[in-house]
Amino acid sequence: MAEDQLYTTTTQCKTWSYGPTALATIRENTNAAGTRSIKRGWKRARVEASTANTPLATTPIPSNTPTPVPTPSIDPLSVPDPMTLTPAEELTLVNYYILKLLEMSDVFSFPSNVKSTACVFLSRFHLNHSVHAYHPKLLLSTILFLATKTENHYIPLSEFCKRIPKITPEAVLKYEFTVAGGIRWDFDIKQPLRAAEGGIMELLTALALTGGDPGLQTLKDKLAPNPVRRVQDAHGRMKAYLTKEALVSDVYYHYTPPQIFLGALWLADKELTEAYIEWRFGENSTMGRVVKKKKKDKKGKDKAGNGEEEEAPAAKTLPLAPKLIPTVAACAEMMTKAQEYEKIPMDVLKRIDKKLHRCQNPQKFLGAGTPLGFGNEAPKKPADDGPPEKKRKADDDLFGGSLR
Amino acid sequence: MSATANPSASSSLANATAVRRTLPFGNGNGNNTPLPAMMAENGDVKPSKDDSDASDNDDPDDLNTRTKKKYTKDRKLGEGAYAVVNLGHRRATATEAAVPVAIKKIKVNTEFRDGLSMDAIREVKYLRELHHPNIIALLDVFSSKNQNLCLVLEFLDSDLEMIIKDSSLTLSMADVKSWMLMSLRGLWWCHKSFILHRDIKPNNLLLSASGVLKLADFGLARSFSDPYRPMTSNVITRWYRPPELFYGAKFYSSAVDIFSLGLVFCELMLRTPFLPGNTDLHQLELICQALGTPTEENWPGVTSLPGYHEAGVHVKERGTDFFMNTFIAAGESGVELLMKMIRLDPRRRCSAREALNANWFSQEPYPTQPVNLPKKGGGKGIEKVGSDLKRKAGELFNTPDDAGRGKKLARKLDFGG
Repeated sequence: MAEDQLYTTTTQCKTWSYGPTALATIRENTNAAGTRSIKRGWKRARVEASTANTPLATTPIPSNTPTPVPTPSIDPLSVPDPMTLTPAEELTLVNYYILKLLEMSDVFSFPSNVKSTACVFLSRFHLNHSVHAYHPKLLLSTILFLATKTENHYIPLSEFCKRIPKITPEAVLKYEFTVAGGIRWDFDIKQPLRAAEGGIMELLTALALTGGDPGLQTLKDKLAPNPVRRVQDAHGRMKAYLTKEALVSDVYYHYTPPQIFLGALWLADKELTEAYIEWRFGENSTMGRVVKKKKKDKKGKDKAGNGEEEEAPAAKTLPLAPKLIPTVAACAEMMTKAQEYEKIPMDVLKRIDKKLHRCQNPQKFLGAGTPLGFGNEAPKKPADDGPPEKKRKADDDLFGGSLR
Repeated sequence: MSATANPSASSSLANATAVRRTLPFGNGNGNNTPLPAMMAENGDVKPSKDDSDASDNDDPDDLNTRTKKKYTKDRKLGEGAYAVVNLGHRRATATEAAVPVAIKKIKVNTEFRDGLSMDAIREVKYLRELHHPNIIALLDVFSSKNQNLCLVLEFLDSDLEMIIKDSSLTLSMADVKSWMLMSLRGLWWCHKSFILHRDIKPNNLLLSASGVLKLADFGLARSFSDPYRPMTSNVITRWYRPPELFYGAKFYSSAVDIFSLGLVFCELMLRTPFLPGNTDLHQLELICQALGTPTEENWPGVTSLPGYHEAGVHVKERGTDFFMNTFIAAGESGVELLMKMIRLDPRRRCSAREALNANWFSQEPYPTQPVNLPKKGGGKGIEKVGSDLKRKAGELFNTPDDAGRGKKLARKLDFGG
C-alpha cells in the first residue's frame, strides 16, 4: 500500500479534509445554527420578560455586571433581536483565539507538535460549533491541556494551572468532554512537522554528498554560493510559518502535511523550494532510487500530483513537479493570507465580541431571561466572570475586563 | 462492520494485504477518500454530514446522546478498578441487524485527577486511526452521564492466553502459524502507521468467534518518536519485554513489539511462558540464559545503554542448534523466523514485513483457516474476562477491554500476567 493511500485512511483525511466551498458551507451552516439558537433564546427571554413584569426582581443578573441594566419601563417586545455574527466574523474571532492559544503555549514552551495540535483542535471544534454557543475564550486552557495529553507531552494539571493566572483544575476539566466530543474524538493530528524535518534532512544529506548526480549538481548550482547555509536559514523561517500561519489559516483542511511543509518552505525561500521540487520530482529527476527512504515526501507529493494514480512506478509516470508546484504555491498563498488575521485592529475585534456578548445575554437587554451559550448557563456561578480569567493576563485588556 | 469478525476477514489469510475496513463511525467517509489537493479544482467533498444534525443546538452533548442511543447495554462482563466491561448491542436499524459489542467504560480514576487518563487517550487516539482486520475495531466513543468515557469495541470471544492455557486443546503447528500470521499482519499495520503497540502478549491478542485474531489494548501505544525525542523504557509486560528496555533504552523501535511477539510464538509452542521472570533482574537473567548474554560483539553499543550492567550469567548468543532442540516442532524455517524475532540486538531483528515474508508461512503445513482454529470462548471466556478485570488495581491500570471477553488487562508495566 502506498504511503499516500495510508494517509487516506486517517481521520484527518477522511473526516477533516474539505475543499474551500465545502468548508465555507459548513461554516455557514454552523453560523446559521448558532444564529437560530440565539434567536430562540431571545424569544424565550422576551416571553419571560413580558410575563414576569418585574424584571429586576426576578432576573438573576450578576450583580457585578458592568452592563447597564435596562430600565423596567422598556417593553421587551419592542427590543429587536440582536445582530448575530456573520460567518466571517466568527472565523475572525476563532483565528484571534488561535493566536492567543499560540501565546499561551509559548508560556509553557511547549513543542511545536503540542502547539499545532491545540490550534487544530480549536479550529475543528468551531467548524461545527458556533461561537454563538461556545465562546472560544472558554475553551483555550482545556484545549491546550488536552493537546499536551494527546501529544504525549503530559504535565500534571496542577503544574499547568500554576502557569496560567487564575485558572483552576476544575475549570480546565469542566469542558474536556465537550471539547473531546466536539472534535469527534479524533485526537491524532497529522502535522507537517515531521515531513518538514525529513525534507530538510534530505536536502542537507544530499548537499553533503560530493557526487556526480547531475540533478544534484543543478540543485547545488541553484543554491550557490553556500547551499547548506541557505537550507539552514530557510529551515528556521519555515518553522515559524509552520507554527503560526499554517495554524491560523485553513491549510490543514485543504492540503496534506507534506504539502503544507513545502508551502511553508516556499514562503521561507521560494527558489530553494522550486529547486528542491525540481530535483526531487522534476522531469529529469534522478531521485527515483531514494524514494524509498523518504516516505514523508513521497506521501505528499504523490498525492499532490497524481491523486489516484498508483505511485509505484513513480519514476515512469509524468513528473510531479508541474502539478506540485502550483499546489504548493497555492498553499503558500493561503498561509500568507492568514497574516491578515494578525493585523486586525483591536477595535474590530472588540466590536465583534461586543456583538457576541449582546447575543448571549438577552437578560441584560430585556430584563429577563438567562444568558445563552455554553459556559454562560449557570447564573449561580457568574460564569461570565469566571472563565475569562482562564486566559492569560495578557489579554485581560482585550476581551476580559473592558468589555464585560 | 459487525463487531465480530466478518467472514471476509478469514479469507485475509490468503491475501496478505490489508483490507481497509469501513467502520460504523458516524463520520468516516467510507471509501470515498477525498484528496485534499485536488479539491480545489474539482469542487468539494460533500459537507460534513454528521453534524448538521437537525437540532439547531449544535451541542456536542447532543451528538453524544445520539451516539449513546445507538447502543444498548446488557450484562456486565467484568469490572475492575479502572474499567467496567459490558456486553452490549448496537440497535438494529432499518438496514442492519443488531450487532453485539463490548462497551468498556473507563471509570473516573481516583488517582489520576487530570481528566481523561493517558491510557484512555492513547487507546482512543490510535484505534480511531487503525482499521485492519487484525486490529480490534473501535466502533464509537461516548461519555456517560457521569462523565465516564465509554468505548464501544468490537465484541470478541476469547484471547490467546485462554487458548494456551486450555489443556483440553491441542494446538497444531498449522494453528500456531495461523495465529502468528494474523498477529504479524496486525502488527505490520501498526508499524506501517508509525505506531508502537508496546504491550504485545497473549492476553492482548483477542480472538473472534470466527477465529480471527486481533490486536487489542492500545493503552500503552504511542507513535514513533521523533528523532532525539526520548521515550519511556518502562513499558511492555515483563515476560515479554525485550532486553533493550531493561537496559533503559530511551530510543527504541518497532523491534520491541517484534521481540514480544517472538516470545508469544515460543509460548504457543511451549504452552507456558517461555521467560517468566519474577523481577526485572530475574527476567534479564532469564533472557541471558535463554538467548545469550548481550555483549558488544553480538550487540554493538549495548554497553552504552543507560541502564546497562554486566550480567551475572555469561552465555554465548544461542545459535540455531539450541533453538532447534527446543522448538523442533517449528521446523527449520520456523526456528529461523523465531530467531530473527528474538535477536538480542534490536537492529538485527526482523521487521513485521520481513517476518511475513518468511518461508515458514508458505510451507506446509499451511496456516489453519481462522474458522477451523481451536476455540474456547463461551462461558469460560466470560468468566475469565471478569476475573481479569478484578485483578489488582495497581498493575492493570486500564484495562482492556476489549472486547469483552477477551480481555485483558494488561497494562502497565507490571506484569500482569
